[in-house]
Amino acid sequence: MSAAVDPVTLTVIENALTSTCRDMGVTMMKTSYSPIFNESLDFSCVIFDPEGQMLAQAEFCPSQIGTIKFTVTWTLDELGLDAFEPGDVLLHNDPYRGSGHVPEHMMLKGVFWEGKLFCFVANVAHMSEPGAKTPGGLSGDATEVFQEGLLLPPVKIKRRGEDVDDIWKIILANHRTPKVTYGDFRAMMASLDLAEERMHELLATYGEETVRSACRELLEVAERRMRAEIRSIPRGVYHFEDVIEDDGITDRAYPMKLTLTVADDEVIADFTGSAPQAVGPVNAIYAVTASAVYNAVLHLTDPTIPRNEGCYRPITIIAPPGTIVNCAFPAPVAGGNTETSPRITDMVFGALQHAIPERIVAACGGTSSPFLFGGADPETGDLYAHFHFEGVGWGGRRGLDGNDMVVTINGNCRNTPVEVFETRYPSFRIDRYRLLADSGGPGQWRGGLGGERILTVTAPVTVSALLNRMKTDPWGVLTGGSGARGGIWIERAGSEGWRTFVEEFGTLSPSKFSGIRLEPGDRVRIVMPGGGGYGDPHDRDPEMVTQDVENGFVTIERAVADYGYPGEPR
Amino acid sequence: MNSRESQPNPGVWVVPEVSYVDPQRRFCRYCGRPIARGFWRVSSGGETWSYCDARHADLDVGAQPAEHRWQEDRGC
Repeated sequence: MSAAVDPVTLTVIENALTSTCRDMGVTMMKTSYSPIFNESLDFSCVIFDPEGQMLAQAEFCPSQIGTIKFTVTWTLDELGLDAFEPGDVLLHNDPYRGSGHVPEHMMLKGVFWEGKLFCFVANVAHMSEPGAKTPGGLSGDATEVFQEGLLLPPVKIKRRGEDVDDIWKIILANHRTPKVTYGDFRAMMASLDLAEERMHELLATYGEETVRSACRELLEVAERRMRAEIRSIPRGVYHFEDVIEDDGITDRAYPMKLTLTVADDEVIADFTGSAPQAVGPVNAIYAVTASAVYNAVLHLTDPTIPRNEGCYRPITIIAPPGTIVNCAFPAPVAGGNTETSPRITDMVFGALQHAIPERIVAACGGTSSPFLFGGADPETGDLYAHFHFEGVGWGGRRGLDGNDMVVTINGNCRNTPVEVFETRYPSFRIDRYRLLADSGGPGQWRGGLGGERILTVTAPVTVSALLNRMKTDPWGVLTGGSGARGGIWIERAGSEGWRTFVEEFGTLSPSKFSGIRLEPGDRVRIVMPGGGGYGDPHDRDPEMVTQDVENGFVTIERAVADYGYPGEPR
Repeated sequence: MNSRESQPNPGVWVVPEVSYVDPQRRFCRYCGRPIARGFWRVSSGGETWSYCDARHADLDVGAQPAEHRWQEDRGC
């Protein structure tokens, strides 16, 4: 039994751990090659103890932070601690071994102190090109995980500080953009090296026993505080259902059912009754489902609780294998992490809307709007690939309208700025990028606005998409209205009028497809869904409705129809 | 949820070799979590079930059939 660490030292160590994770992210942002790293920040950085318990994280991508605990523990379980030596770096992206989906690659390095393993530092990042059937991965019509990229079980890409060349060769030979992969992997390694250095500094300053004791105590503090937060939610069994509208292969809808039990100081999220796994790539693996539930619970509870494994201990997830929330090998999974994940998080909010109306939020636009493209640069001949995602409207919540055009609640990423988009890739010119009036669900607190992007093709390019909320509404809560749906359309060069990809190319789904070749002069229009509204629209302050009309967020027609505009000032 | 009392279960912790030639894909019978390697094995009535740990076995064994029961080793 170690002695308790004084509160000041405990706080200093907690902040040192969190700052280390933040610095890891800055390193990746500053040293990487791809915009998905240095613009979108689609990565996360964490520290684990040797038992695989997450000690600290920084505020990057929630879906990754939740899943990486499964990726790391799988690695430790499969290999055993004896497999790790100083200087080793493990690489791993296999969804059926705990990774979120194939593009997300996890790197893990043991930190040794005085010859003994003290902790692990790890990061996970979305590689813009994973070697899938189409550029950028996330092929909207994949039917097996093998079509989604090169699968890497936990393997050493560095052994005792030296590159394992054979592993590098296999990976670089399978990715369309080896230079980018090489640069981004090096950025991930630099991030791990920095974290190792920071941990050594911390151990040298405070001593191994104090840091170890502090880590144990931080886990206990987080668990204790999370349990106290859960106790503040009325006990009960809550239900909610939503649906994934199609899967890219069939027109079948996949219902998801949640039974959420709040029992004293624990939460049990049971997805029994959810649809069997999909044929196409909208399946979530268990880790993704768990991560989405963690994300929701963290949103509903005190944000000052230390973000570590202790937060997760009171939360149990039950997800029957072979279903859309825990698919079985080798089902495709790309969209589980981008589409099904935010839907699950929203479902937790929906289930609790009457229990804790002051904390929940209406449904967000519910899609990461993955739009993938790639080809050969006409000037250099170099291959390129990019995973572009868009913001959506977030749901309204008590006291505030939803955010406009922010990447979904599971992502916390940024999209690629127009200037970077056009500079880095030869294939598109952005003609229009704007918020869409009336896309936010009406409510006392309006849903955030979705948006529209129109691109003109400037060089031959292959595109794929994996979008949602094209057929079903982002729902409102507590009598709030639904946000607007999204969509994607094409206008071929020399023709006029927008057509769906089903109409133009015969794709199986209007929003999930892959490998469509476009030519210069073609135009693509993507519409991002809005967020659901919160509360009765007629309770909205008339002044706010007036401002919405003046700002162009709500048209006069909808203001009259939805809000009774013009109303009497309060 | 699972208000029944926790009960001892006749299980054993098993750590099999990992095989990439003949991969065994197991799920916890209680929560559905895929099992990486080590698991809590319970044999009862001629059947063998896998769990994340003894606690999940406690929560599951002896429970009345429910919707979330699935067949172990059904190949998924």
